[in-house]
Amino acid sequence: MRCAHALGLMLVMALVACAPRLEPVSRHIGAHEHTVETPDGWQLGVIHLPPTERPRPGQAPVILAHATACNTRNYDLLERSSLARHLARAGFDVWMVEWRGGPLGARPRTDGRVKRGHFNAFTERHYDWDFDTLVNVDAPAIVKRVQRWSGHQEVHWLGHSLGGMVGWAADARATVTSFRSLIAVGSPASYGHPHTLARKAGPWMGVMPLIGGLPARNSMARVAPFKGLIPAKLLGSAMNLDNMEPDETDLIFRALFEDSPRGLMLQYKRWIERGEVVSRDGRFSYTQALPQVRTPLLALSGRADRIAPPWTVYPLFAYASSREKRWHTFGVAEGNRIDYGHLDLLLGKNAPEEVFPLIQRWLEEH
Amino acid sequence: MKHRGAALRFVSAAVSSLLISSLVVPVLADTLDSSSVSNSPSSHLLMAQANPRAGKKVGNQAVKIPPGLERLAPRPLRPPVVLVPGLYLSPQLFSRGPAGGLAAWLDRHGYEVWLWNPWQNSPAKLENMVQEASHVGAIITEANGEAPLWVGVELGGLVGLLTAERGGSIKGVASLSLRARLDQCTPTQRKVLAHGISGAQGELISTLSSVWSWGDVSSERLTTVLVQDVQAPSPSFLMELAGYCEGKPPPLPRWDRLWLPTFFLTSPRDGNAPAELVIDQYDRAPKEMRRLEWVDPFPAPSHLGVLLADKAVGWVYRPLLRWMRSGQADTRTPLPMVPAVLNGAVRGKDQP
Repeated sequence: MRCAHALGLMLVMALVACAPRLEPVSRHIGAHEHTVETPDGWQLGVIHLPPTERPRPGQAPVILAHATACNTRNYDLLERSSLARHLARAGFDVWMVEWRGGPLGARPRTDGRVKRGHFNAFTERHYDWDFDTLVNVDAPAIVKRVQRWSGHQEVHWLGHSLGGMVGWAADARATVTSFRSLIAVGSPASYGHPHTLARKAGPWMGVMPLIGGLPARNSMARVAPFKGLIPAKLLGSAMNLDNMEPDETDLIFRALFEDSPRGLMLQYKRWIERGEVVSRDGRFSYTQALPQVRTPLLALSGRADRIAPPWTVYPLFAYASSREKRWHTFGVAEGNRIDYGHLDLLLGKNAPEEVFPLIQRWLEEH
Repeated sequence: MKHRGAALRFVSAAVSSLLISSLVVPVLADTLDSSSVSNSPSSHLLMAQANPRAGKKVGNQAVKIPPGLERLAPRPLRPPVVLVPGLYLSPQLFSRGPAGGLAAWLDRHGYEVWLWNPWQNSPAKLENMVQEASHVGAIITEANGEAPLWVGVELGGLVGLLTAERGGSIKGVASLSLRARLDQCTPTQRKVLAHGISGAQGELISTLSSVWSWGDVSSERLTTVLVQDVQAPSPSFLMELAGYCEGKPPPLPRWDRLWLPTFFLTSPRDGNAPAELVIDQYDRAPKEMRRLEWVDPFPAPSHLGVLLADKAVGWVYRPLLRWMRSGQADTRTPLPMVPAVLNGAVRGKDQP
């Protein structure tokens, strides 16, 4: 039965991935686009949003790293819910970075040239990377380049989900040693006691590589007009719908998602099986290296987050050795208006008034 | 004609046996209930013949029951279970849920149910409450002849663990929505304590209603609980809890001294007893004796929803009963929140 479901899903995703693409929404207004070259020849897109009001000359730049299967729209989808613009208005020098395969970057071809634009997991199976690549190659390259561009020795790293994981993992593994502070938003540090969703998703992660990875971009864009038909249980797993504006949900489907490679999917599967975040070969446990995290740390989670529930984020706070660390879960019991889900931690309608100020305060204090 | 007569005789015989069984069996069952033990009402007769607890020591029925402790109905040969509410709640909570509430449901499923109201005697300190809980365990043991299973909600679960740790007469502890880390307080918990200390009843009820349920408990049931079941502890007790919120080292269960079956039940959405803190304690409990139960439908229930939502029988009552009947190890032990090596490395330091 499971096999039949798997085949059915693969067929649907393959058809969806091959379908004509929708028109992308307009790019980030008022921002400067750059690329960072990695030692292995990839180009990573970087969007620079300089401070628009009250610049803070002494303040370290803020790097915003996005989640799995997402892009920089994670931080700049709409003016009203843009963390990047909120921070730029507050005087911070903001750098939104793309992981490899992002729409602004480029990937090396065998003929020595590069291929630009969105990575397509279905048609470009020969490209593969994983979490270790992001920790060991991409994050150090990004930080070095932002240091040079901004003239600052240290940077703040703010990551959502995978973006935050890369931050704390790079700190634990010392592939980056110049973080002034880390802000992990809905970033798991352990996969023990996996949520029902993760337990169910685990086997699917093993199926994804058969179709090249996770073809999220076209799938989601094609599904957008029919999102009303998606069961609330499924849609509500990614975000608390009560915390989302309907037009924003539509835009999320159309503009936020990107394809993910099979290596990353296989690594997720292994994490869920082992209960901890480990390297792809399984020899290094990032979770067990948590006590090596020494940078000031702000760990945030959402009470209704079913992708990175609080108990998967909590170990980051509990076991990091940072001299200063804080933990906050966004939920009603914690004094917030609503229980936050995964995506609405940054894109929710209440986030600008509840989440952004907390992040801003942390940055101001560091 | 011959056939019709036979058919009539058959029908009348069937009706008579149905009538007899429906009238006589319950009477027999009730009669036998006081002299035999069963695990479910329907199995009374069978259990009377093969009663594994036939040789059980009968307790002292004349034992004096102190105020605050109540026996739902004397069932001396049934295993006892004591239900203990959490902060601000009276044990009436256990008669509010679906199927007549957890207390009646457990009674129907073969237990002698006791209700303890820890706030009855206005304990001045948590320590007093733990001492009183030891006394409660001893009284039930004397009355029934067997130590009780302790089913505590939130703070009620913590008190059970602390009591068992000190050798209290408790056979096993089920912690529903355990709040074990009294030092990790949310802003709402601080607010609730402050309202309780200042005696601002209106604000207290308003704040409690916002954190106890997000709409999954029917408004009628929630109102009944808020109007009839809210019971404030003494200000000194609340001030002690507020002190833990401000950084005073709180009492934590000493798992190296706790070697008894434990059952943890948590809802991912319960901000009043956050799942991460429940799991943190679960991971420390002896592996061979613990069980964890997630109440994880979509959307997950709230703090009171765990006990009072319409589906609580399936979510909570039945898993709890399964544990009470097995009473032992979790055969489906999930992976720990963090690898054992990491947990062990910091366990002694009482992090975070």
